[in-house]
Amino acid sequence: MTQGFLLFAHDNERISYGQLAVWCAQRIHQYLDRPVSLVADPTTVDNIIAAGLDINVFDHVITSSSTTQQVKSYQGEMLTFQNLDRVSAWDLTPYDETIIIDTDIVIQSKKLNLLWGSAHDYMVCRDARDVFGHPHPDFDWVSTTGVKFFWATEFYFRKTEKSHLFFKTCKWVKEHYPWLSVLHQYNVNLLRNDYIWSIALHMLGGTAHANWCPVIPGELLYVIDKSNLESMTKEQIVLSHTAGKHVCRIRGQDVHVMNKNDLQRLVRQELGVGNE
Amino acid sequence: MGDLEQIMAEAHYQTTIKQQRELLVSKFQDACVIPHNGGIFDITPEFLAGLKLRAEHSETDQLWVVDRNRTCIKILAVDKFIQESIEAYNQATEEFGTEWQALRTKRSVEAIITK
Repeated sequence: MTQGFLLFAHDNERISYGQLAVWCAQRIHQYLDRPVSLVADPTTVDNIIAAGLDINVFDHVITSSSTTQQVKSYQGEMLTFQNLDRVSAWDLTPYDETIIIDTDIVIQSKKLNLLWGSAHDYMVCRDARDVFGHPHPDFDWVSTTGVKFFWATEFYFRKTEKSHLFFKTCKWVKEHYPWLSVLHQYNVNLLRNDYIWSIALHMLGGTAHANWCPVIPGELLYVIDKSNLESMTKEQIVLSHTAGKHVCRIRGQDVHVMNKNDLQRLVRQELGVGNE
Repeated sequence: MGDLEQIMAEAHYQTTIKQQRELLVSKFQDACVIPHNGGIFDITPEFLAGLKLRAEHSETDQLWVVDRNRTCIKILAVDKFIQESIEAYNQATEEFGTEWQALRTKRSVEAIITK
């Protein structure tokens, strides 16, 4: 049984997801000691090489033919995001067992290694908590009258017919996203993998609920893009939230950092790449 | 990124302690999770006591146990599993205790964040 991580990266006008993926792969090697494959468009791969980074940190580089793009506002800028090939992970992965993670997760623990060899065909991330304790109901439910929210940020699957059915359902949800927005009352202008995951799980639960689905143990710690990443070493990060004058230090736990501008700056320092 | 020194100067000590403590609790809970034979188990004193009681009344070295995802998993060598679980729980509490002791004796936000 082969095991490995699958990362998706598509650079846009501001964020070098390819560089984040290289950094994330290095962290995976350091803490989790598993191979990593990258799904990226040719431009992102070229950008990684042009920055002088080692593409061989990935044991496979898979070129994605996905052309679906969306434009959304991020920290006051309109940026292009191409993040919708994740529904093709089952077709793209070279491994028997795969963990998909976002490239903006700061890996600082071995926690994800608990998932290998699971009796389940797939496991999803449900439980999450803002590091500063701020409530975010939009990460609990897809909408006020909608279904339970699940994160596509971390996902484990074995390549079986059951997991294939899940991904086929995700593709169906993606294709019918505008129609489903009427039913589930979410913002149709923003195509989110989290919503696709949540609705697919809800549908596979007989459109009753998704309580049946095995979940990844523990809480996914996260900070929203309004929180700052102050410093980062191989062992710890320091985060702040200026509005509430909050500050905290995290060691030995993974953290999903949504402030990609801060993350990118510190990742470039760690990789020894200059800021563009 | 903000001005970290300024933020540390203005951050509330008690709030910072509370947030760091919540992180320790979360880390402790993560450390109390162990995989076995395809299942994932939350190790608690109640879980350990129940398992030990069942093992004492069992005639075989194998037991079916329900994991955190409500899946019944066959434990192949119960005594060994109990021993591994106790070790994991002891190590998790040891780390929790040590880190909490270090945290609670720090008397400023700067000491909590930087030392």
